[in-house]
Amino acid sequence: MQKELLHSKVDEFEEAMKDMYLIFKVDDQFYGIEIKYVIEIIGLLPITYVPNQEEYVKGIINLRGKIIPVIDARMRLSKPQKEYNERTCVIVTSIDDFLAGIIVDHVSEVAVINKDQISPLPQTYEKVDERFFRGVASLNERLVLILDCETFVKPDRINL
Amino acid sequence: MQKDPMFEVFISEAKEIVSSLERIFIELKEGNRNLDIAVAEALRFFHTLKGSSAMMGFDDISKVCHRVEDIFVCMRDEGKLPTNLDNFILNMLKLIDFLTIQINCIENLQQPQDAENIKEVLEKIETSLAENDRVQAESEKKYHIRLLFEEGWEMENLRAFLIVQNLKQYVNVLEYLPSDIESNMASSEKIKKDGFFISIKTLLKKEDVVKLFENFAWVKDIKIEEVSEKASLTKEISSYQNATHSIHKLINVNIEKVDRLIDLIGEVVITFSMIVQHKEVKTDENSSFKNLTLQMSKLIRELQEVAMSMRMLPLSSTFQRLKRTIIEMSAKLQKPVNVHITGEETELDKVLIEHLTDPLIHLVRNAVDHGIEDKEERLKKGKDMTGNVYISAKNSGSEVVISIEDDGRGLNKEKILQKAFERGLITSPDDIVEDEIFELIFQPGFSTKEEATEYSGRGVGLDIVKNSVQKIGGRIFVESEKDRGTRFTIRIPLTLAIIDGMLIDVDGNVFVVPLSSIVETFKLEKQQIVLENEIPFVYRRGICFGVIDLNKMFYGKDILYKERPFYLGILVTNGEKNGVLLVDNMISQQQIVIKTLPAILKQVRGISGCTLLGSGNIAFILDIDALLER
Repeated sequence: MQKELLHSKVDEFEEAMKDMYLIFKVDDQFYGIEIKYVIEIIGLLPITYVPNQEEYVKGIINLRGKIIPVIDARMRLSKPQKEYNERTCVIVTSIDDFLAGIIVDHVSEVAVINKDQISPLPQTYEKVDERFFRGVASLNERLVLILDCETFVKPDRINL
Repeated sequence: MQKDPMFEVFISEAKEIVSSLERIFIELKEGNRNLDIAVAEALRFFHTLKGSSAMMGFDDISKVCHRVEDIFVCMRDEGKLPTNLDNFILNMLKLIDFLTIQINCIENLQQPQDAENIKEVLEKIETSLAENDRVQAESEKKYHIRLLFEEGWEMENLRAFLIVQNLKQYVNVLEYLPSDIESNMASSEKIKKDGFFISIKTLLKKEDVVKLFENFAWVKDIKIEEVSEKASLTKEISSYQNATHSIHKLINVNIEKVDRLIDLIGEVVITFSMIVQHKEVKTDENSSFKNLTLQMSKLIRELQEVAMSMRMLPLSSTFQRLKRTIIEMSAKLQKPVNVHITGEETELDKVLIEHLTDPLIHLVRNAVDHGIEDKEERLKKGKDMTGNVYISAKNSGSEVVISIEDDGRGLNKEKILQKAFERGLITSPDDIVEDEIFELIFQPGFSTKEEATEYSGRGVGLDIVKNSVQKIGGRIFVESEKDRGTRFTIRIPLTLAIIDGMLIDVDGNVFVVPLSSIVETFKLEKQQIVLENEIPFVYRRGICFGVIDLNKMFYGKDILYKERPFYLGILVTNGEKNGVLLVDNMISQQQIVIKTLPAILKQVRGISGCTLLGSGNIAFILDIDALLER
């Protein structure tokens, strides 16, 4: 009885969060990630470079005593480099208890996108790393690319 | 996701019950516990577990517990005994394993294993109970007695001697402790503190034995217990003393809360150092403020120590698992083995213990499987038929030393050399110093055992053991002598969370060198660094040291190309190897709180973790072992 109760609690929680997405901008493109991964949004903090990492891993930051890695969304998406400015911010995400920050140009809003609004990317979408994308949705006349947060943040191979 | 608190309480209670049950049956196996007492205690535990699991709706567990309860009640009330005690215990351990797996699955919200699997074991336990009722044996029984004396009578040793003499008229006195009561006046103190222990054999009933002590006015309290034939007084006393030590009041605390507390205290330390180093405070000559800061820093250090000690756990439960592994293997492989454990009360950081358990199990498996010979072989060598495994732990400075030792056949040098040669690890047997031969067994893929058994030879070698020990900052050594045995010694730091470190500057970035690995620091002129084939060396006091250029290593820049009159060298050691770190500057020396690097990052060779500085910046902690490894 307790077991079922527990599962139903989890389900409820996930149900409420399922269709909500955080929309942000990199270059001129809008992207969305599921809100359930997002812990908070912060301004840019001093980044400490870590040797021997993928290029898009900019380093680590000190978030109130927690050490978390930050990755540059521009570089992860193979877009041209740009200086960070006052609109640049870091989306702190949590996946399976791993915290990581994503540096984006700016965050725009939280929006509800239903599953049937999301359509798959066309096969011939060149120069796009298909692993990252769940699909594309139209939101207030804008096209939003839905990111798969897990593959986007986690490197291909993790040292545990 | 937030787990239900009821659920968490259930899990932690169930885990505790299962480990207590395991302990009961292992002690029973060793003859340190009387079957009746064990059954009564286990029954109580199964009953509690049945109740709480039924309440939480975990029917499989409660059904299994219910059935065991029936069996045990039958044993208690009808006096039925298992025909083969060893088999009974092994089956009980299997059952306990099943419960452990069930509880773990429930904890991780996974589908638990099917209860059908355990039916067979339950049936075996049931049928193993002999039909014959316990014979009310007219044979002699063995009793252990503990006497406490009234205070203020003094000369306790002689009084105890009197009692023994008197007892001898009526019963068969087997032994007593302390044993040197006639000659040693100091034994009097021991009796005052712990009491006087006597082991007797007699046809008398318990009550009648108690009556024998009525003549002695100074006896304050008598505890008498019927024990099995095998039970020894010394063992019982040590377990009694352990028990009195562990009566501290305990509460269950979520480990995350403790970790958070330690994090917070770490931040208090950092913030405090920021206050002290603040320029307005620094220029203030007010001495009363200085006194306050001194007091404050003492308090903070103490606070830190208390918080750290909260994470410390005794090694006893780990050692218990090792003991259990050995008992099971010894039954399966038909090799009688005695396990000797010392220092199980030694405490270690919980996280370290978790990382150590698997390597230790691996080592005891090796000891029983490869180390200890078969019965026949041992007899031929003139050894006792029963092998011995010694497991010990002790504190030594800021380290804990754990050793696993067997009195088996020892490592075979020739075989190791041959294997190393085949694998191309050495080019000729002369290539290696005598002392280093055994070190070869820590190389990847190195196993001297040809055939795979149930317990080893599945490709997991000692290299994995070495790696996991190194991962927690430990070191492992091996000693062995032919036909005398093998000893593995593991040295690990008490805790990983806090160290004294030297802050250094490498290309404008701050790094921490653990103070424990620094031998000395010195200035180096450019011409003192010898560059041979791009590999830099320094020559110092007749010894040549390799140079580790941290600039080059982490930032791809060669420090030697910097136009500087001199460089800074830090001679570091890991106890075996030495090297000189080349750095730009030394900053200061301070206590640092260690944090691990996020797991998502790739591991960086030479960096073991990081810490936060007073400024809020991050500094990397150097992994000296990895830097010296070439």
